[in-house]
Amino acid sequence: MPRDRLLAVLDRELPGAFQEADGRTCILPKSTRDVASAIRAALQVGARLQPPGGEPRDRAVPIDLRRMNEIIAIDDTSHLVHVEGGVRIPTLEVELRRRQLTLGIEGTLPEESVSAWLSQGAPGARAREDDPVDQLVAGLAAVLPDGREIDIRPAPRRAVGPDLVGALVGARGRLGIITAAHLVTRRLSESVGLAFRFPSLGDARAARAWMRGRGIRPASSAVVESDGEIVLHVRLEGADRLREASEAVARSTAAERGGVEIDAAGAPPRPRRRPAPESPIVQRLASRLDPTGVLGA
Amino acid sequence: MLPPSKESVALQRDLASLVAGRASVDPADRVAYARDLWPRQQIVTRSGVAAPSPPGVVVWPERTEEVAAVVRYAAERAIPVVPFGAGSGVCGGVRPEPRAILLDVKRMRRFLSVDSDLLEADVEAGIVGQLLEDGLEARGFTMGHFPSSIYCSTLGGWIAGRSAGQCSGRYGKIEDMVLGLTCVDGRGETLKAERGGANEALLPLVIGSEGVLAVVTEARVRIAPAPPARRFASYTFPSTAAGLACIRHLYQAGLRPAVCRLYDPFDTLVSKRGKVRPARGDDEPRAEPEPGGYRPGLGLRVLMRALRAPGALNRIVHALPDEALGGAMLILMWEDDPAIADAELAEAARIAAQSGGRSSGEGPARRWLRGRHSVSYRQSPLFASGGFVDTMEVASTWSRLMPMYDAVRRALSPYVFVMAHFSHAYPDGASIYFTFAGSSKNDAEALATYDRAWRAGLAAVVEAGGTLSHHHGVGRSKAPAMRSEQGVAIDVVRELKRELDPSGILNPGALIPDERDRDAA
Repeated sequence: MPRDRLLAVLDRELPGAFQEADGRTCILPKSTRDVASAIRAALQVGARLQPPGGEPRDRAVPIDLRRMNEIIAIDDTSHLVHVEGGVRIPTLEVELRRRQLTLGIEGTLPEESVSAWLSQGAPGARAREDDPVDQLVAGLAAVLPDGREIDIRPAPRRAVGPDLVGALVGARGRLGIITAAHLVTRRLSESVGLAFRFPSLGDARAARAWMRGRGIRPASSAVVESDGEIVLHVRLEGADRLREASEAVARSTAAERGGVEIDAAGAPPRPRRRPAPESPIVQRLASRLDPTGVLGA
Repeated sequence: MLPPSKESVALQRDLASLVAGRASVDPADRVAYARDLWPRQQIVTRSGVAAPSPPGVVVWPERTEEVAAVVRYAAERAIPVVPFGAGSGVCGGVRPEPRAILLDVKRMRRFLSVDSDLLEADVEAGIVGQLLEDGLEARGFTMGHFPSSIYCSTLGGWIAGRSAGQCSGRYGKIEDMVLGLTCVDGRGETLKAERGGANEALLPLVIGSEGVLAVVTEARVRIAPAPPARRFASYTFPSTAAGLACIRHLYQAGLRPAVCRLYDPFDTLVSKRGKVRPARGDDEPRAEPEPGGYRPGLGLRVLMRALRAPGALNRIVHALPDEALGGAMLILMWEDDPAIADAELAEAARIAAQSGGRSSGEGPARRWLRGRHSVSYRQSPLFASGGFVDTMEVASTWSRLMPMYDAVRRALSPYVFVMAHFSHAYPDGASIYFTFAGSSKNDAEALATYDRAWRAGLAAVVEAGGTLSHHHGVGRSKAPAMRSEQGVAIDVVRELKRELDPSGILNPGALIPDERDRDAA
């Protein structure tokens, strides 16, 4: 069995790198290099691996990054945190909050590791449309399905060809295993949640678009349809006078579209964003980078 | 004269049937499309080589289907295809070979739809930037994308090169504005992608791919209501570092001034001297060309002489304390709802004061707005006088920015005179826009100096942890340095090209470094 051969190879080349965890056999690498070794070993014996955040599949040995759980550096100047992929989001958020920083994830924090969360498309993170100048991932390191390592240095934006960060985030591990990331954080600040009920979905969406168009940069926003009720949630933060100005513009914009303000606490809750849908281009690129399917079907 | 080859004439006949006759082998057309505005090529042109590599045929498709037909035809015959917008790229992204089909998409310029509720517009990608903005303005909107090349660049070119506009501080870069696109890959297949849709991952891969993966033919872009009001402010800081700290605090506090430009002390001095000429009426007579060509004035001749010893010039300027040059100037402009703009203006005043800034009033920011697109047109006299000028726009995180600024200035100093400004900021970092000028005894020496300056500058960027380009792209000028920044990621892009363009016909030579030596080793 390829799986048994894989464990035999790993036992020899990465002693202690796999164990029973949560009732199943996992590979527990300690470094990016270990991840690369595990992938090369799997390729060698024809075994299949289950990347963090990947779609479950039969007979695949999961790679669990829990031993890669170091917060490598917090760059207070750049509001960046450099983390290994195995750091769990709640653990990271606690550490960031100690420094008055946050990832700004809306609602309940996901329990996943950074690697799994990013591979799923970072559900719950601020939407790009809410602030086109902000971003979530400034750079990352990953191991490709052939065992090679890529390291994309952090930058606020770049124009050096296709954006592989954008391709890897949300690719469910098909293009590689994210082993570390430079995440953009923001300063903790007072926030206020507003909610407006609208007569139609179109009105709610138009109100949200026009709020953004007039210069509101919500910390988060969502249109929720629940039991026939259509509600636009908007969370605003920042300095008092800026937040107050944004509140006033949000209210007037909502009213223009027939929105009625309701108590945000009593409004239908916003659903968690779903993981990114699988993309045909990811499948096509994966078929080149991963012809044997070591990281996916 | 550049008579067309027999092959080109035959090719033109075939292609004409695919694009309703809009194909040309006319030497004038082929020369016009032989290059972009890469300053290195301008030195070559000055030396007497106007068109080093004209394409075989130029075609003007009007629909995505015509682009697809041309690319399919070319793929079957392994003929290179070079997509072309308005040719204002400055990195050598356009350099067709004699067999190549030059695909000018500027006839694809229609507004397909404007959704005034959701603030989205579907537009063909060949539309020239200013026409796009005019069309939106007539409908009460703006795209908010104002590169200084807006009169001579296209939406498709912006997407291909990951362009940034002067108002990026509020609207983002082009990749932040594109919500969807239609493109034709190297097999001639039409692909579509949209944010939140099934093929969303295609967006970050095609945007910025400089025509080597696909030809972008249509895009859905985010638009905004035309700004009802603008607010202006300017501050002078004792040093570049103090000005940068202010910008960082502004963006990390959630403020989003549309325009945020900090000039280093020497650039401040130069920009204060730059006057905006009033628009000339159409009925005013044009000056007659000087017999015997352009002759530089005394000032320019002295400058050319000084630029031959840039090390000394840089040492003098860099040794002067920032305050002796008048300090670093920050200009800010907002384009929001007046209530939000006023709140941000007040908050910015507080942050600027805390960072050591002294208000210079609205004047400098208003003056900048009046001359916002004029700077690129001031370079011609320098080239005509035997010098050269170029720009290097790089980016990094805030913590690495000042070290990178110092390192690049040091690296360029032996070869060219260098100054800089900072015009695109984000919560996590910013771009630095270096402008450098040089002069040599002759064009051959100028090219050698130019190449040495670029090699040294890019190496310093990579060494300092920055990225080689923020918004001009890679083309041929930065391709040789790509491996040093991108490493194995380059190989992923190669695989992507093999998948989308298996015949390797789309814009060969751009973006992806030629590493035959490395591969052979």
